[in-house]
Amino acid sequence: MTTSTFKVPVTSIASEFSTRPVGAQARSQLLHLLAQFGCVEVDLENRSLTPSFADECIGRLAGEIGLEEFKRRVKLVNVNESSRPLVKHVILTRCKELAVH
Amino acid sequence: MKCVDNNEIENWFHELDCLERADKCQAPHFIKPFHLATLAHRLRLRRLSGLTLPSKIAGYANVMNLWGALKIEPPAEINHRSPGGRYFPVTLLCDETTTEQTADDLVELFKPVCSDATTIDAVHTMLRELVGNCYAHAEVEDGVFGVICAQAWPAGRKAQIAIADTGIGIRESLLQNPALVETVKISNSCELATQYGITSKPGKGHSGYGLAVARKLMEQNSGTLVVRSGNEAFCMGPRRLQQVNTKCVWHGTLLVIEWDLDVPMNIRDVYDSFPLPEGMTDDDFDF
Repeated sequence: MTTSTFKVPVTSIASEFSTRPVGAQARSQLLHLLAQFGCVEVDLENRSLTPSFADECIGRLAGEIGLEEFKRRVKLVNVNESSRPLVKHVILTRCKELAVH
Repeated sequence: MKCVDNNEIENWFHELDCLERADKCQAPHFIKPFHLATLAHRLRLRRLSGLTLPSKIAGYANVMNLWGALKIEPPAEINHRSPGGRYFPVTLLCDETTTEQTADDLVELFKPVCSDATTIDAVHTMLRELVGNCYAHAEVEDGVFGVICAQAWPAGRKAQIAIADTGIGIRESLLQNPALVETVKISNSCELATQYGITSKPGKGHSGYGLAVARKLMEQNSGTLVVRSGNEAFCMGPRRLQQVNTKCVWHGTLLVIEWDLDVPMNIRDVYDSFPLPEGMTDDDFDF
């Protein structure tokens, strides 16, 4: 794993931003990138995300690697204004689940 | 224009039963998308054709492409009509990869009659989530996960979306979550499903956002949300909150969402209302 930051536009890892299956595929690709690079910068391109997509792609990613590592290694940029509280919500909810179980 | 309510749906279900039993039914006073979405399933599942539908229904069905969607022969005589308003025709939900496209196409219906971009974004997000839910939760065996259609009445300043499926229904779905079994036993499952965080599949990805988002948006709008499944109904509308056991049964789930085109909705406010987990704070994110 290198210490460099890899920048990835969300449109290159997800064909749409609505469904869980596509969110899961995007999460899988982000995990693959995190195995290769120290940090991954995800450009959400101001896209409107559904709760299901956000939860599956971002929330469950944070749940899998843990909140501290997520904050340290995943940078989200150009987060849609409307989706901002949703993204925070899914990250914290999934990380809390990880902490409880 | 009268807001949809549970009695109107109950009466229509009674007519659908009559149609199946006696090959005839009475047309509703004011025909709306939910009539067509449910009729589509009844015709599809019972392979009913050659029916003598009241001309009001047959004409509306023709406008809404019911026959084309079901690939069945239309009645011999159709009284062609061009009622006012804008339509999203009867569409069968068969392919999950078309979720976003279906919602994109549907929201186009509302753009000319609603100039508020924030409201359009809220409706669009709700639709993407609800259409996706059909694929995720209906658990059907015939490949048709649901039927959707919609109409906007620019003069009446109202819009209605109807989504009907013939899946396992809300009660059976929620009972798949062991943590909910006791709650479901003593609750109206349709109302329960509209609460934040209620899901049939905890830990398997699903989090129960769709109906919770729809309910919150309709609360903002003072719109109407009707959820029917099995012999249960939840109806939330202006100055009305109703949880009832119904006489007529819908085998699956029916959602009817009707709102005022002039009252704004904001999806961000919905997300802000979601509770954060205990002990968690969201103020140290840098986005």
